[in-house]
Amino acid sequence: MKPPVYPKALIIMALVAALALLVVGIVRGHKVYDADAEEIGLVAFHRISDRQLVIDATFGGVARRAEKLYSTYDRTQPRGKQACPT
Amino acid sequence: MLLHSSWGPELKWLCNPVLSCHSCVLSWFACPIGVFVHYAGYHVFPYLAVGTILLLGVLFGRLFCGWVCPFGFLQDLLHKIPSKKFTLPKWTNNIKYLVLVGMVFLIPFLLGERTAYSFCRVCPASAIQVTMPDIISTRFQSIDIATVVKLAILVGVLVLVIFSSRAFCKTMCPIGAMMAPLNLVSFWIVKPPKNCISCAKCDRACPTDVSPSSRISEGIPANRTLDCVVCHDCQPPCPQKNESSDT
Repeated sequence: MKPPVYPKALIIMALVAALALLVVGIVRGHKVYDADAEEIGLVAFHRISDRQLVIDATFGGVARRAEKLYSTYDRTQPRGKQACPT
Repeated sequence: MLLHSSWGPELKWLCNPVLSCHSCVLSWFACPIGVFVHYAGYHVFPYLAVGTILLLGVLFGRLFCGWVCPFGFLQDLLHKIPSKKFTLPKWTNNIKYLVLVGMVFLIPFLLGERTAYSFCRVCPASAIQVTMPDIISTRFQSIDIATVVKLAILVGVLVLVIFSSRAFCKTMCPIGAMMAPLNLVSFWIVKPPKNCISCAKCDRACPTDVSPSSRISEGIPANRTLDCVVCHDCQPPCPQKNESSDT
């Protein structure tokens, strides 16, 4: 069976979709609450970029609890290289 | 080596579409599978990661599988060990899509990013790059059931690829599953020769048994199929190769 030859329009659409996703990813932010936000009765959070969330995802720097994202480390302190717990 | 070194940059916001665990603290790039597992657990759509993978795939298809992936390279080396060789049934090529949907997206979405049933927990590349060094550094104190399962899968995969070329890439790799459809639309192509004589030497050279001659004889690029890893191994044996050039 002859394999289909996809038109250039489909290729261009895929490229445009990739660029659109990149733009959205660069622009959007995420609200990440501090690890001890609930313990001391304050609602402290950081707004981080999607880029930072990708980095955090590589070492489990964010965890999801009760529909919210929480940091697993102190963002105010310098962070060295860390390993993902998975 | 280049993907894991202390003198390199830390570009862990950038997903490199190869099976190389970012759990190693020295890794330069993020593994897209690890990122997708975590984002699925976060219930957040990974715009940046998906956009990166889609862009690289549209530009290069599965070229990274053939030329960059360290686990693919390891498979190629192991397959050179003299032994009886065989090809897995074609239906096994669909298993990787189930792995991608189930173990990368669905299970972490339902059970959280730290679930023991995500792909990261059984990834053979992770077993080599992270689990084994961890076992050695802790003097075997870190061995548990999960570790044993992970290492057993690694051994099984490494034994399998001795007999079946790139078996992991074809049947189990979720990155391969993600990149495979992009082979059909990528700008990068393996140009067919102008006057194919249907000698099938390219078929015998192909490490993933995707029968490049069936496309080349129709004037279609050899990599316009899901399971081609764009290694270009089909080109050197071609007696008509001087009549074609790559993009």
